[in-house]
Amino acid sequence: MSENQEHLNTSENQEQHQETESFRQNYTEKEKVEIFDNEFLPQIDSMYNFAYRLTYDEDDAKDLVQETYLKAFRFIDSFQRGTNAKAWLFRILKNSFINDFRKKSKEPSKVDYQEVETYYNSEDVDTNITTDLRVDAVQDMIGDEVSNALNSLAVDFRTVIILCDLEGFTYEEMAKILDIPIGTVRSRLHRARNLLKDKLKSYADSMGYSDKG
Amino acid sequence: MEQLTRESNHYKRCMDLLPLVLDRQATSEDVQFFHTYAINWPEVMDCYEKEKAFREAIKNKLGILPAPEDLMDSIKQSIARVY
Repeated sequence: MSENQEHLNTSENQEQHQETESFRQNYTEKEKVEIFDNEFLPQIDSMYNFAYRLTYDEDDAKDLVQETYLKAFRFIDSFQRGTNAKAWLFRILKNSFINDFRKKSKEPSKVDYQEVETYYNSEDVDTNITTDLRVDAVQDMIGDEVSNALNSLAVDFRTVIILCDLEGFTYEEMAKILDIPIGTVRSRLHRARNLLKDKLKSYADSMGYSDKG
Repeated sequence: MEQLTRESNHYKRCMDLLPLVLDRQATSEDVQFFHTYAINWPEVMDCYEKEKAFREAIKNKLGILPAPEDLMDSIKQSIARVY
């Protein structure tokens, strides 16, 4: 392990330890089971959906969700009862995917770093400029086509669209899940949507959807 | 009285509020402000309608995939085994 990697892992552990310690609850075994059954397990469909959109493999998604729930139970004392369980679980799932799962996954998620770099390094971001895409062209597409377009985005961009547009998280919740400032959430969402529109427009043009009507 | 030009503060505020309103992040006062003034600029309303339809289309096309039926039992068994 490189020195830098070791330092990163140590910092990560310290951060997780501090976070855990500051909210430690000391639940009884009965309370743990109640929280797990009543607050965590009802989120399983959303968790699986998020995991599948990250991994694009049903078995990998199941493994990732299972691993997330095991970690959630292990660190359940750091969860404050009655707070946002869904956001807390999504944060664990996202961290599991980034820190552990992608390394051992059979098909690591491909990240187009050039795409990420081009958009992140762009200083002149006009939030009011949007890619021109006819909405009826998207409505003509089938789910798989939209799903493939989403899957072709780098994972950072894909994630914000899933969290906001599919799961309905607020900017503030997304900032906590992703460990980024709210301003970055907003700019990343804007860029992600434009990238998705670009992909869908190319697809619509190639399939002749854009010539309709 | 605020002039309803593209250089006006109301126009700028409507454009700033546009993504917040669409993403359900604006306050009720801001939503009311947006819908009161945005109608003065067809391009703002056009953008609003297109963006709203795009978000709805993405949500409808992708949908939510339900977890496999055996996953919950599998998780419960793992928890019982490990803890």
